[in-house]
Amino acid sequence: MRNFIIVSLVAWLLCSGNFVHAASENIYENISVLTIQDEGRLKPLDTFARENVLLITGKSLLSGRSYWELFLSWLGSANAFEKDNVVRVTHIEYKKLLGLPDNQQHFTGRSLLDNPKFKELYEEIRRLRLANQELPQDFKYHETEQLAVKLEHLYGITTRTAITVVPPVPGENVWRSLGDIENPEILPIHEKFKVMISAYEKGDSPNFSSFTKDLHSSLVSMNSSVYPSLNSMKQEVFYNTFKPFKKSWILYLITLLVVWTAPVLKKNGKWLFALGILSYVAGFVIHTYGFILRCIIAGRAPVANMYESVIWVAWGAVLLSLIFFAIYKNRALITSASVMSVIALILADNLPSVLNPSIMPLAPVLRSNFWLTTHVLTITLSYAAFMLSLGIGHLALIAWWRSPQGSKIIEELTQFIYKGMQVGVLLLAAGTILGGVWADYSWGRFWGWDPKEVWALIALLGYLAILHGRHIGWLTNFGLAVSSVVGFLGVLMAWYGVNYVLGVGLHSYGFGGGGTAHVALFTALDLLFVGIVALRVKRSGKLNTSVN
Amino acid sequence: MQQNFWQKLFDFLASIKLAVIVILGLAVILAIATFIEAQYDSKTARYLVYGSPFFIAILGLLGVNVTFSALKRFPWKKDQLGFLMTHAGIVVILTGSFISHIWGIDGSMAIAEGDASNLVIMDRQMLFVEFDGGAIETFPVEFRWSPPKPGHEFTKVLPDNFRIAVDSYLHRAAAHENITNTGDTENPAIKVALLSSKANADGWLFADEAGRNLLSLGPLRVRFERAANLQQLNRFLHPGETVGGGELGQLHLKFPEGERKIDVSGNIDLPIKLPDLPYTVTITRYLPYAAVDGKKLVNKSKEPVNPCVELTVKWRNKQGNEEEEKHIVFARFPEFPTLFGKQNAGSNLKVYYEFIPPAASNGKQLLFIIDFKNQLHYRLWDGKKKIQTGEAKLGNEVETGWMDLKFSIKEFYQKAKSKLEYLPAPKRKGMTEQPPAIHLIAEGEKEKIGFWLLHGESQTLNLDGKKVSIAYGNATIPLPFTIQLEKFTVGRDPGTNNPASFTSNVILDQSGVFLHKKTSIYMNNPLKWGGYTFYQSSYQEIPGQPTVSILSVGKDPGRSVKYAGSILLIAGIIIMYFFKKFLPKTNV
Repeated sequence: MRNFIIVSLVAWLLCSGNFVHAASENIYENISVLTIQDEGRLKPLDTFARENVLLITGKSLLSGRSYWELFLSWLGSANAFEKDNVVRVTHIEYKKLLGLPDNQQHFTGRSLLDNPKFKELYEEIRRLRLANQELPQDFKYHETEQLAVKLEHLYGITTRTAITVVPPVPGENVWRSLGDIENPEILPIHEKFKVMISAYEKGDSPNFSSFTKDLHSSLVSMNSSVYPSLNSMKQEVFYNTFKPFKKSWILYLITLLVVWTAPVLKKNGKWLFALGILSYVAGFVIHTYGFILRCIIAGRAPVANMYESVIWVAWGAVLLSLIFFAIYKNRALITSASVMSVIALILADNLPSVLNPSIMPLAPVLRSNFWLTTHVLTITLSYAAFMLSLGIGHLALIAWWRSPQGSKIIEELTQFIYKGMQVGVLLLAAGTILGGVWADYSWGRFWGWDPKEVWALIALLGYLAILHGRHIGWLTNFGLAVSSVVGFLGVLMAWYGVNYVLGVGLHSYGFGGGGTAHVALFTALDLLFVGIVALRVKRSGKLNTSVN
Repeated sequence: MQQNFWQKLFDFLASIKLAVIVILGLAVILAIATFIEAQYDSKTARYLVYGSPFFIAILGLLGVNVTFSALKRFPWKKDQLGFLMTHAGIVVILTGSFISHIWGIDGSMAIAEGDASNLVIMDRQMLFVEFDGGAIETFPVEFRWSPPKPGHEFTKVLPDNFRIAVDSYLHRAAAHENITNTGDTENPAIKVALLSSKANADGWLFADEAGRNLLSLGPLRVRFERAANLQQLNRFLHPGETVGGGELGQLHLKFPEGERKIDVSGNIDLPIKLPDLPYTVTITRYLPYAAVDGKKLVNKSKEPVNPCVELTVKWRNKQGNEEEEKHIVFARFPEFPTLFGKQNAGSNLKVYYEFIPPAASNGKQLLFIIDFKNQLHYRLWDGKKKIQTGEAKLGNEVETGWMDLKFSIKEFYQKAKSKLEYLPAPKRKGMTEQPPAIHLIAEGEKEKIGFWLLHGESQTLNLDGKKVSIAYGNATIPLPFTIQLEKFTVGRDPGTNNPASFTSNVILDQSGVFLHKKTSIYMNNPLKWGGYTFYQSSYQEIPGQPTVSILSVGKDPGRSVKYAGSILLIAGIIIMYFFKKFLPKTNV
């Protein structure tokens, strides 16, 4: 029975990861690769459609309509703004405030835009902004601003003013919008576009395809020197559809299931374990590939925001676990790294409002700098090492719960925790110093007590205290397991807290919001878990005896 | 016994236990500092923690601990190489940081386009006092975290028993004008209120004060003037002619030596030698609709939307050399500094441009006049014809006939006296902070004067017949070379308004050394010269003025020491971990 459950779970995971692509004809192939200038970047229309549908509806699939179906219906006519229930409002209190029904999540753009309470709040925000006043800390302002952005985007799409697909005249760099039909140069393009849309609406896919191709070549011919190559657009569309990071977390999850189960199925234990490792390596390869693809598309190392750093840290943890595994051949390494990576990648994959997956242009201070890339990658790699220690630390704590008197497994796990911390300390020290080198290079000062710098230092000091405390025997094996959790609080603050909680300093380009309450709750629960295990170990009298 | 004590002290200072305590203590203090920074700002965190003596003492203790721990293990064995390098690295980095802290310079430089500067503005506030033509004395003042209070004034004694004291400090000061009827001379002022169902507005007008006799209140332009005789009063009450100095208005020039008025019409490009004053004024340009295009002030239309005049003032200074100042003055923005971004040659000229829109325009005007019997009259005027005139009585509400707009005179002072005071201002987000202000008391043998001084301003007093000049601002350090800002450009992300790059094109000049170097400073590309590093920090754009580029200036004599320490540290960790078996040990 148990085997069956695991096998079916694995099968279901493989299916949901879209590992087997149906070889059906994709009618959106041609429209996907049209180039649009959006948020300072040239991207395929596919990316634009995905991002906007996700932003407006909060979903990529709304009542059976795919993002392309939704997007093209919005492009088709301004009626979509009036009639289509697509703009998502979920905040219950806010819906109450606006007098919207509880059981509905999506509304028409028009009904929201004409909502008197929304108008009133929007006006108030505008007034406050004009007077340079801070918005009061109240959900209604935050929600109103978010809703306004959604409406603005939907309006821009239905009126085609936001569809900046027409390349600029030579010498300019601002792409022109399809909605600008008063421009004699754009009018014929707009006509072609209308023909294309009507072919789509009639369900005439051959014509839709050929009209799109025609539109594409007309757009290219308007200014072929600035129009990006078809290959670069195809590459990004591929990245969008391939979803490498989703595939890798699914493979890591499969590894986790298999590696855990392997010893239970005695007969095929070894064989199954090998399969688990294979899936792990496959996940890692796809993870790496996805990372490289993103680098190529963005034209830079993905070190610009929280989403990218989460992906990178998860990758680092897997890499380190593979290196350690090659040396020590202990499956606990694989288990803990895959747990951490699966959690990290699932979060990255499913929280677009907190961890924004869109590829953005870099803040000026971050542009084209070797030291920056090295410094960020080194520091975040140290987070990966500490995260690996954290994962192993949890395994150790579970082991302590099972055998509060200590065991051989615990001895081994303790070694790995320590090693992970050592690697982390080296990388964090080096990364912090490299940060100084970069700051010196671009700002003319080595160290400036910037909060991000300071928190990296605090995290480093925390682990240094742990390593020294271990050295003089203040920390027992159990103490080290606890330290792996407590020490990570410094990393959490340096990595997430400075950007999302403190929100000050020169590293403000990575600032974001959201998730603070969840992170705090999760941290509290984790510490509670540590406390409970400590209580149990203490009762058994093991806690106060010295290290073996 | 003695031996034993020193041995014990040494052991304690070299102990790993002390190391753990210091490391954890440092971590906690740093964490608190970041929260202080989030709550207040980086300057506060720097003052209270990072730059404070106790923090430097803790770092010193860490240095001692690390040094002693290494000395304790002498004579060193081969396998301690990694340990030694790591710990030596920390000591070297701390030493380098100390050198930077003591001898380093961290300031900024603000240069307007077309201007040059050699002054590094430091983040330290100073009082500059020049007493009776003597040398300028400077006093460092840092009131933000320890503000002076009455009874605990910051006091400095000057020669001849003169003294100055600071008895109040506002970190963010907002100017507040206190107008009372307690002046010594005639100075009629009225407070006019406009009332309507939509909004109310009010403001003060001074009949005799240039630049303050005009006001835009809601949809109306309001003006207050004085009738010296019956003829003027009649002209006011029975209008039909244009008002005040021809159709292009007039310039009101206030020199320390006296005041003069010049008509703009007919005087453009003609040098005017001012009678009885040593100045020659030339109106170089008249712009009816001044606007900034690119970096230049241009005229956009013939309609007087934003009338503006450019003028030059020439005179001979005490040494007999010719001096010249160029001013730009806007009729609608009398409070705008007319010398902004221009060379100040020291004429101390205050110039106002009084411009009444010509009768042909459609501006709705409300005009007041005070007659020789100190009675007030008003005239409503829509630009073409009189709508109504009458006597304006204090407190009466008068219908204007424009929508439901009413006006009333709330206050009428014949001897108005205006006193500028400062009040604490709330914090503004996303904007430049309001400057700080101090309240000073200057005291001589006989006289005592109290006044406010805004950061960046100066005041010259006459105290017991002696001249005392006091300025309040940031400390500056002169560089042996100048930087001239040729051009400042902001690049944006294509298709957006996000600034993508800021570039200052500068010329470096050093007299003595033959140097005239053109270069650009932009993000990640600082200029390094003479031990100083200049990097692009920010900029200020003010309409009608040249853009000001703000460069950060740093000098770090500890740089190479810190780099050496860093290399030692990292190499040490690598050797310790990977070239020597460093397994967890149970005890020392």
